[in-house]
Amino acid sequence: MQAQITMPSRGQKKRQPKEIAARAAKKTGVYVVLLALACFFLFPFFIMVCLSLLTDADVFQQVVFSPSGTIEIGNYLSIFTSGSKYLGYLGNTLIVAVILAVGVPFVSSLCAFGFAKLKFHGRDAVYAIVLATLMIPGVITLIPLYAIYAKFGWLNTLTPLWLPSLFGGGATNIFLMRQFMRGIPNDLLDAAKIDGAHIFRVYFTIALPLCVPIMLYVGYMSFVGAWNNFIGPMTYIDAGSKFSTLALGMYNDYGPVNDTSYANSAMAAGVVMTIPCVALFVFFQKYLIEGVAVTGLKG
Amino acid sequence: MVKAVKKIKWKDEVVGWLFILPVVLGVLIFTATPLVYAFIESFFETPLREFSFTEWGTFVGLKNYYRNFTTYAYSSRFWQSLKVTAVYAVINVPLQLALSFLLALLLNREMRGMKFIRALFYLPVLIPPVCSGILWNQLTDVNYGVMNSILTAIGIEGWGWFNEASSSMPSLIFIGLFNLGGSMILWLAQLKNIPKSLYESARIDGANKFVQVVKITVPMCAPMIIYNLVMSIIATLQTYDLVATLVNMGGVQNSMLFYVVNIYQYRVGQFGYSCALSFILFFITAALSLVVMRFSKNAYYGEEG
Repeated sequence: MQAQITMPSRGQKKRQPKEIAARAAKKTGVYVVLLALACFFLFPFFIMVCLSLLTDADVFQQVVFSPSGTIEIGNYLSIFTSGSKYLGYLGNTLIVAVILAVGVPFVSSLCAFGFAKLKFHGRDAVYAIVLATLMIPGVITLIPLYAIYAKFGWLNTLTPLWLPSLFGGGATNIFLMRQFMRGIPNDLLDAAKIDGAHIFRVYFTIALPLCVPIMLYVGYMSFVGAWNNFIGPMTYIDAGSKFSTLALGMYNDYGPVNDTSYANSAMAAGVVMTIPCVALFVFFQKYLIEGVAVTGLKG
Repeated sequence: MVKAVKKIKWKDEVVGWLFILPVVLGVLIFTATPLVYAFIESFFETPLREFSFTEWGTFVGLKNYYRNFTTYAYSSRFWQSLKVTAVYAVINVPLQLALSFLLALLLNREMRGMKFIRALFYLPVLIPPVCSGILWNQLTDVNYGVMNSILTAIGIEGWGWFNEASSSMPSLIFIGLFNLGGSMILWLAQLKNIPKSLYESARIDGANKFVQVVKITVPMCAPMIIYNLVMSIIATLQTYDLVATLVNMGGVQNSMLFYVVNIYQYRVGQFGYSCALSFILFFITAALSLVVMRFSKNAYYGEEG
């Protein structure tokens, strides 16, 4: 029976296995390349975790795994001992990052709504100026702001790290929000206006709920931006201040300025600082891709 | 009728400005004020101190600008920092663009587990720059860094990493490769926007994969390439975090003295001079961006028609 069925299609059959084999070979080839690349890209994570589990003695042996097979979790425990410096850094960083993650999407959406959906004189000129600030290298304003914050009495506090960002939330975020809001049909807003709703109410109850995806994206980026911010705390907060953030604290304790630091404790701190970034990314991945799609649309 | 239309509706004006008030105040207080302040101070000799309307320091005219060319102590660092930054930009930006594009081409296919693989490639981008700098600083330490023991195991011996001037830049570029995932994601988003029909008609016309990439993918991505190029150049000129956490004070023989690292080192003692350096950076950035955009005007506006 089988022979009878396969015989007539011999001509095709002869080619098919070859094609299938070629396709399978190609597929395998691609997977091998991808696997090799994945090993490369995972290397920093892998080595960071491995080193963080070494004992102090092992660090000097220049090994990745402990020769004696011991896994030292003391480096992590010392981070989470109550009263450790690291917990203080973590607390400061969380305060700043959470304020920005909540505040920046709200403030930037407010401004973006004005730029995208309201008509008034000077709107386009102001928007052009806001976008132009993107061209200014951060370092130009970073250092003179030290003098201004000194006047305000903000040095060695967390204020310079979050308060300025609540004034508009940054040009990039306003740009992203505005691009997104332009997609909301005007009819939808007009209908509400005709019903007698105040414009702020229209923004809050109609525009804002539609902007949730981009707001999540902006919130995530703000959180990670605050989490990673190094040059800001470095400029406005002294080494050893109780308002050190994670980035600054890690630099002062384990960076090139400190020759006596151990790789294992440095890496444990690094792993703890990296985990929230990875966790949030996994959690918000869907919205991030959406945000990237908007970013990629037009510069 | 015409008059009524032209008449300014004061309520709309007020409401509009109220909505954008935060950013107007923000730009005035936190961008314009320090910008003007820095510009004025760039003509003065002064240490960094609390802002004051009455005290500006010693007026020195354009000295902070021309001492980069006349006084050796400043000019040597200035040119070294320009050289380091330029070499990094010229090698790293095109390399990253090309490699991330190739990666995106490789990952832009329908296969089982592709989403997972993309996320995997993106992972190193999630490591905070400070952690990444400290990680590589520890790994490449001469006395107990693990990198050279790994290299010895695969037969490469004595790579100097950041302990020698000659190997510092190649090492920095190598480390940058782990962040390819960032631009790769942008490319992938762009590749998705290219209509599939273009490839289908090309295939019918007998174009192979390579021709398809050169004739369809690259031109369709042109606006993105320009955008990426400009943004990467601007970002590269401002390299700071990674280098500051990787090496101490501009590295061995100032081999890692990036432009912003140089500005930053002068900020406390010679605030006026550091402001002048910042403005020079500003002009360089603006000039470069304009050149790239002018140079590629057709590609950039091609899509909008």
